[in-house]
Amino acid sequence: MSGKKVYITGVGGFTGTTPDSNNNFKILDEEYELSISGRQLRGVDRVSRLSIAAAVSATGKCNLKMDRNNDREYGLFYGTIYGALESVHEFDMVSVSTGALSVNPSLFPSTVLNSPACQVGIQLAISGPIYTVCSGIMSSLDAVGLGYLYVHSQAVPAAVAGGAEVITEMQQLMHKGRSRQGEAGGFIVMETEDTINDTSSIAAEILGYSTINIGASQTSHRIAELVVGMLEERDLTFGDIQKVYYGSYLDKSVDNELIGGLQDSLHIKDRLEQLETDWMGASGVIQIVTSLNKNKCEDGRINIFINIDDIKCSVIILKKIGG
Amino acid sequence: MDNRKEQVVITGVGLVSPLGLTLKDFFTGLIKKTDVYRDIKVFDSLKAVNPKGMQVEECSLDYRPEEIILNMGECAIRSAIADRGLDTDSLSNISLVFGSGLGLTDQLYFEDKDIHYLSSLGERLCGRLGLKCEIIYIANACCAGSQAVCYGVDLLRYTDTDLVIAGGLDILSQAAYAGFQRLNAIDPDGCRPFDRERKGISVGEGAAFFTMERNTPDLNKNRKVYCAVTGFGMTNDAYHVVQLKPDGLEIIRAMDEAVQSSGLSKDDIDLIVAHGTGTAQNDRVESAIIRTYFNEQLEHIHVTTPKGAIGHTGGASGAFGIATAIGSIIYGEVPSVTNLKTIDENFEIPLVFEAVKKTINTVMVNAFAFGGTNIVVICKSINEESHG
Repeated sequence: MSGKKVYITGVGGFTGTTPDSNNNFKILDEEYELSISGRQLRGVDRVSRLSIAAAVSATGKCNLKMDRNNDREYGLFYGTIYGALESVHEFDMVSVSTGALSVNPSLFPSTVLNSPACQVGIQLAISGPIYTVCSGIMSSLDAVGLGYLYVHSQAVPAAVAGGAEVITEMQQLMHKGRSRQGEAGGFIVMETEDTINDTSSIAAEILGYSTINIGASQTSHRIAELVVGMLEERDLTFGDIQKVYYGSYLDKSVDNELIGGLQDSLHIKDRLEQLETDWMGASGVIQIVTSLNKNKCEDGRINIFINIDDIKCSVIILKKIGG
Repeated sequence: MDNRKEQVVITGVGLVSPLGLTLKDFFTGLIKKTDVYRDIKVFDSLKAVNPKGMQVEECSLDYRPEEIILNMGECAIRSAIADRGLDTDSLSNISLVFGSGLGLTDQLYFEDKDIHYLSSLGERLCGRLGLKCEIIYIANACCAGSQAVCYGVDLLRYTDTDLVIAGGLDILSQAAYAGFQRLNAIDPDGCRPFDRERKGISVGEGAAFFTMERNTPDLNKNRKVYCAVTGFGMTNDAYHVVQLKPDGLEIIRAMDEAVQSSGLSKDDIDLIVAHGTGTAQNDRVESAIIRTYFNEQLEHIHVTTPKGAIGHTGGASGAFGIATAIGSIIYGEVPSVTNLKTIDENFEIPLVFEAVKKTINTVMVNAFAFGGTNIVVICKSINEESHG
């Protein structure tokens, strides 16, 4: 697929660090609310606030002009498993216990599954396509991938992509992950050279995105084949890989087998970093944000992000640019 | 949106609608204005007074949201595949792109620890279908279904995907009913789009899916092709979560993007399938922007909407708009706006009061969502088209 080079010019995110009673990581409201103070946030629920804060943080780090007078049509790509679940649940409980006419109509907007993305869109005045993508642990990685495809194909000149998750009572009832969970919100900004005002804002280049259904044949071979194909297409070798970031919702034994297979196939023994905290749908973007924020990536080296569950696998390859 | 080159066509249609389970039944119901507005007896826990809406008959007996939405989705997707005559084993790259505004939300009522949420809907659907495919779930409220179709077009144009199954589904939702009722957005006399006496929506449910693929001379020789999806426009109001931006400028921009990306002009549009929810504000804004954008071209255009007949089907509504467009193209007839008796005197658009027999080549389908997303899709008959 020919198209424009896509660069990451802004990254921003928040991850939970305060353990709750279940030993999951929560984000204190004051950790992110400062960055959105002064905005009109009446009636905006917590997951949307966290999303806005992360997106504001990402866009603030690049020189992308985002205001209502801007005639550029930026896109917004948002990935989540649980989204506005808490608001939906609160609303439902009132209607069930006391009847439809007792619900607070001002809460209804937050019960729309895409409301966090829409709130980000409203706050950032994004007038291009908005997607809410829901694909399990891959959600935010797929959102970034979709945004990449839109920018790469020049369907939009720039895109803001990421996702957010918060821990709630209902979410805890539903979630089936096996590791410690954490609240998180993360976004990146993607642009082509045509829109970048300041090249010093370039943090990385996204080289490719792919997603496959693995169904019953969840073998490391199939995933390695996908990654190898992506590398070969870009004239890259195993030696170019600095690190593979891996996040999964597979059983531990399956995970171990897969990781071992990937390490062998891609020749990356000691260069695979497994996600320790389950950031749920925000996992992929948080892996990208933290890898770039902490300067873990070396200039010119390739980093591969793999998120996987028992249905599908998504992969993003990026190259770090600058120190 | 530009840079879209390859033509994408719809080769299979699968529907589960309050008017029936085939495109023919659905479209005949629209043409004949079949009345399916009935009491909803499954909302026991809602304590709503005489809830009414358009329900899929097969789903009216027992309210088990998760089971209903999975059954609907499975049935519609299987129908689309069967209609296309698909041997799924012969294709390696298949993508299922589906839109749902509320998904499994209503399962929350049951407080079952085994409930599944959001993304699991796609996995469960795929599991039932036994399909080996990529799954993409787009949760963009009432335009989710048509946005799924747009995404499918992009997958076929920009990736090596061989076949896309795209569409939307939503079931009657207690949560949505409560919200709409509290907002006074449900018309107790049934949805009357663009009517002077309109008071809001009727709730509906259903699933509409399409198989989509790249057009080639071989494809067109070997199987039926309903229409091409020649282009689309996708914009965001960035204004309010539940209100349309009153000036409608972003919708106009979406309409123009759709026409431009199709390589067409406004003159080419024969029919507009409006979002037409029947709410005071939606119909006011939509009629004004249709008038503003098309102006003199409206002399040869018809405007209709299916929501008076099937209600507002949420995330499936855009897909049902596309099904209405397909029906008009292949049957050569434009359905009327069900329940429209007296047009609001402020609306200067050519609404259809009685079904009109007419050759329809090009249709614009509008879908607008809570959150401010506007999706406009252009469907075009391929009879006069060159391939490629």
